Amino acid sequence: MHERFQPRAWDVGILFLIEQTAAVRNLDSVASGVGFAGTTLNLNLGDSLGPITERGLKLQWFNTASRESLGAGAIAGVINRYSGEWITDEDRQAQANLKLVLAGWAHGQNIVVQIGATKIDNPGVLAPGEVPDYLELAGTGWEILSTLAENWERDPQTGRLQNKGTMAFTISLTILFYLRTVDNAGNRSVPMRYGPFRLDSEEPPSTPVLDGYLDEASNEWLEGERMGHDTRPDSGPQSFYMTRDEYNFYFAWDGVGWNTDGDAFIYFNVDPGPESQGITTTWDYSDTHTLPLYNIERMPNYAFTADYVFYVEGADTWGLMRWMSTTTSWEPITASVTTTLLYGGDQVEISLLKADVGVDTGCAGTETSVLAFAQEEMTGTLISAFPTTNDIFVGLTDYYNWGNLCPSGPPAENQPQAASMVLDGTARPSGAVRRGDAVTYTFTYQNAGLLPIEGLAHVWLTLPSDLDADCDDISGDYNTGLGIQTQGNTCIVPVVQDSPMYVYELPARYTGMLTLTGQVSTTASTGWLTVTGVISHDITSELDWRDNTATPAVEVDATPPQAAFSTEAMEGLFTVQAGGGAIYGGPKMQGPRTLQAAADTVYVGPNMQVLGNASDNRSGVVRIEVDLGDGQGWRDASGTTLWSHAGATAPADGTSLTLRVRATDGVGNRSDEVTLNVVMDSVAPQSAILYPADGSPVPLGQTVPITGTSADARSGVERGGHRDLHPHGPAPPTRWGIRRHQERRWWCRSTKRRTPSALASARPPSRAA
Amino acid sequence: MTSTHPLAVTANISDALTGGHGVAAATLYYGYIAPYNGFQVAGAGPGGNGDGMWCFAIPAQGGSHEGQTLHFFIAAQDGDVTPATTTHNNDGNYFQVQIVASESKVYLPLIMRS
Repeated sequence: MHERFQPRAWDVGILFLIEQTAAVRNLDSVASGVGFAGTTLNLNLGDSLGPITERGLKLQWFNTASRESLGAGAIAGVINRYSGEWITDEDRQAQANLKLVLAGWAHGQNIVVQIGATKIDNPGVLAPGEVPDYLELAGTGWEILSTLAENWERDPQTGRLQNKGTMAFTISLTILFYLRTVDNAGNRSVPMRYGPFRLDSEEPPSTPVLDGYLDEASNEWLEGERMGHDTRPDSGPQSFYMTRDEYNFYFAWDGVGWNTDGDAFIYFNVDPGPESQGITTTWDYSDTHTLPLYNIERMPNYAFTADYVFYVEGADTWGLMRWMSTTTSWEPITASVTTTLLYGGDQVEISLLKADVGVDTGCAGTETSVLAFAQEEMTGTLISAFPTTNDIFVGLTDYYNWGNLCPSGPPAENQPQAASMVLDGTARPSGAVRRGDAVTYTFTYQNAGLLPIEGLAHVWLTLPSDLDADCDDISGDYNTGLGIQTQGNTCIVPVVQDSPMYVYELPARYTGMLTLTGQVSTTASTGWLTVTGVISHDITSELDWRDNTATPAVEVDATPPQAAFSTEAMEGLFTVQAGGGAIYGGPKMQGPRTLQAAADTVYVGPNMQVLGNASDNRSGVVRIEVDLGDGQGWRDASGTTLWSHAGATAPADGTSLTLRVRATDGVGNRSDEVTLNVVMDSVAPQSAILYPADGSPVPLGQTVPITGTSADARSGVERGGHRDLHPHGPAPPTRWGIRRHQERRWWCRSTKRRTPSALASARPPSRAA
Repeated sequence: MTSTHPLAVTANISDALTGGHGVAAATLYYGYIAPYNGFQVAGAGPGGNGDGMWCFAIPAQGGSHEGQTLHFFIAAQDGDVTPATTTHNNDGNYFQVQIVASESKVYLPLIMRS
């Protein structure tokens, strides 16, 4: 599947289109009319455009720099209509008032597009109607429509005219682009790659002052020259700086004292170098390390074969070594007298002649790779490594690389170069599902790096056993010619490769999507149903890119909720006040305490309350249904985790009623029915005072023991009515008493003023009442 | 309560006497027809373990209920693993609130004589 080009957040493009022209004369000559000189793009349209049809000439370039790198910088260009061709007045009319559409797309910060006097700061999204259909920029982009500058000069001898009008434009960007032209018949020229360029107005890398100190306050080293900041060393973070000028490399290391803390090594792999065959084993200095055998971020099977190493053991102990393929050994070489190392304690600055490490003077010709690390002095254990993407505990994999060393732009820009396939995944539904439900897992892969991927890449999808799906259920963008392999419960899906050309109407940094559909197994357990996806470069070596794993999951709720009747009372304070009015209730309010009569049977009183609770461990309780035993069947209760239904009709005294309740959770799982039999006890118990006898005198000022009996014919006496009365069990008859009550005055007065019958009727209160 | 204003209900609820698990939830049920649980509002707790003052707001009932009696009761649940519940329905009488019309003002016509 080829998608229409869709700009990414880190893309930028520009499209020139000349309207109202007739024909394209020579496509390739257009490409030759575009070039960079220093930091300026000279685009001479006049030499190559000629008459162009309305759909005309398309020049475009695409930035494939790292996504955050769209910082300061600018393309400065001149559109020159001077063709050197003298034309007639008639031809002039044909070329007059030509419109230039400068359009493109860009996302990022501080982007400025300017042509002539028209300027757009931070060009944003164009409304659909503003985007010409030929742009097809998916609704994003910017556009400046201008009339091409005209400055017609007439030859006094021939009377013919030529246009010397020019228009300057600037675009603040960093770009890498492929250039291709398209004629009206759809013919495309051979794409030509340009860049990456940092087309900016900044100064080329500076030459630091070598004094052993980084002089951060004066910005001696630019931020773009800090190649990495490594926070892993136990002794504190370290920073590694690098820059260059025409003759020298400059390095700085901040944050470590080489005299005591360790040793530093800067390895060089230059191509072509004096020794075409380097070595991937470091110089034996306490220990050896293996240099990157490949750089998956950059290019597979592209080993870092070191040709030189500059080492620092201390302020006075440093040097340069060279790998000699003829003797297969590292041998010291004498560095030029210009090589300098200045030591400032925990900072060091180094100047190294390019020629000493086989790099050409200037910027052309030599591809250079650099890898630096620090190790413990005695053990050789890695302390830090630059690029910091190297895992110091596992091994070295990454290095800096420059195709050339032209002095433009900070060296840290776009390092390390990368083709980095990123895998993302989502699962639907987003909420919980239950057994048998359909689920969909979607994976997207894209190259978020700088370079096209080479060779094959595969997405490994490992399916969980609780998912009813197999590799045939995968659809989307994959190499159908190679097909999907099955290894156990893993599907190995060959992805569609990147287009090697980032050109218009072809997928730049191709994004592919894979979809896996299936059903939750009918025996699935409650939990997360995860499909693990990993994108790797090679099917055998599993060299992984970063951010190459996605684990989308759906939540399976295979456990039904639980519902219950509340037969236990919450006892405590419960007063109610409505609208600031009277307060109802007292300090000893309690719920509908029920008494177990038999298994699943409780006694209830006339004011029977049907309420309960429910719970669910995943999707939550969403519905409670009750059957009140009145023949009306199931009906909804109010509430969920705390539910109630006040519609129950109390049965006659001594008769029973069967209540049922069931709960439903968020995915439709229904609980088992819970049954509760209730037996109505609407008759209060009978009580009597045995002592003191009714009307008998009681001694003033002493504790009066009171004893009595209480009996209930059905549910039994639950307890006495005062907080100092102790329940004695449900079996009638029950003897109850007031033990040593300390409120002498009250009891004295009460026992003297109240009659035994009054006392008997006052306490204990019937539970049913 | 007037038909155009909500009614604030407060309940002091605690689970202090048995278990001391605190009050996990409280709901006010109200309605006009027995069992008066056609509507419900969740209570706002006092924080902590839930023991303390719970607040409920019965929304304005509107003019259609003027002259009617709103009944409500409150159910609470403690924080025990096996939650215990209780209701306060005013000993089976429910809490009753008369819905009355809002205060109205009568404006006499001003007649101008020419």
